[in-house]
Amino acid sequence: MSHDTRMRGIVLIGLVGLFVAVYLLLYHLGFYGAMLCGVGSCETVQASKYARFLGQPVPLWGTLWYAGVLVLAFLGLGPAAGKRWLDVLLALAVAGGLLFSAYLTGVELFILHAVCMWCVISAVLTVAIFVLAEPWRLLRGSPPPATG
Amino acid sequence: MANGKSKGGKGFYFLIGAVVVVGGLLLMNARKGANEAPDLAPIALAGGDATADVSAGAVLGADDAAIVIWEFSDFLCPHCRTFNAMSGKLLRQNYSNTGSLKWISFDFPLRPESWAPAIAAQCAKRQGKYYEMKDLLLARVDSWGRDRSPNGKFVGYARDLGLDAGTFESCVDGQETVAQVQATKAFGESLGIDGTPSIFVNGERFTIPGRDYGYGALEEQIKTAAAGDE
Repeated sequence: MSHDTRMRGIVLIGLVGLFVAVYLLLYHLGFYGAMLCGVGSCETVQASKYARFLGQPVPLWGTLWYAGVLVLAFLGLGPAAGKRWLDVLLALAVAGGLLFSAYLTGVELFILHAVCMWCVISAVLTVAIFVLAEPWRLLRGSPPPATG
Repeated sequence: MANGKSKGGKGFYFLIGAVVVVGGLLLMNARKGANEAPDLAPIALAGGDATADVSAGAVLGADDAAIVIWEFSDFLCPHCRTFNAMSGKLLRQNYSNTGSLKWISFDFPLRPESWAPAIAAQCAKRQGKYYEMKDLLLARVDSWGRDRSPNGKFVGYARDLGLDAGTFESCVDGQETVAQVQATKAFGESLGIDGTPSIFVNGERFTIPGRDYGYGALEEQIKTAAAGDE
């Protein structure tokens, strides 16, 4: 898969993820109406103490992360394509995103025992972005070619 | 090559546009659905046919208060805990002894595990400390929330509150107040409630906002009613 194709894939998936994160953020802020616990698991997850990280709602971090990855991928399609600093930044971002997503999934499965569909979707998107970014190429010392 | 790339670029930007349009529409549609009024059964106000059912709740405040708030909550519901900490408890502390506010709590267990704390709260109500127990149970849910048999901890809380621990223990172990919980839940179900916390102000459903869990709006209503009484 060419570099441009992978960057375009990250942009598209990141955009979908951005909408998911914005939706969860608006839900967290009560934009979608009453803050109620029903029988669903999303309420349990969203209202738990784990729905905040460093004092801020997790969906806010998700929104910032997706927006950041989007910007990096766009830069990767432009004149910054193939630049070492961009590859390093993107690798760090996707690795951090994957770790944080794994932590959140672990909290859902083993602490809250409640799985929110939107969180699962976001986790899958994060894995897809990680795979497309191919950060392991940096470890091999072979940055991906700028064009393909 | 350049031509092919340009075509690919067009398709890419078309896809971006499609995702933005679809995502934006979905976000707006979710907002629209949330604004639709909940389908609730007609509410009989206190003094009408529902008086007997209302009496199942735990009452705090003056009987002739201008603002009567009904709260339906589940002890294992995270939003109920937050609502109590950010709004309910503060409103009760600040206004239930002013004559302007009458607060009635109804236990509405959504899950099987929520019955034990509701029964315990009703046992504390028998000794006149429903709200003290409610606040304590919600504050300490991290301690008892995962216990299969939390009654032992509840007895400890009763002791902390100065209740007669022996009487309380036999009450929770014998599930002596299960009928009261059934009554408060049945009253909520008769109103069409399917989630907690559900709040009614003078019989009108109140939508709890996310920012302050309704403290500001509810306080304003209480103050307005109090000013009208003067």
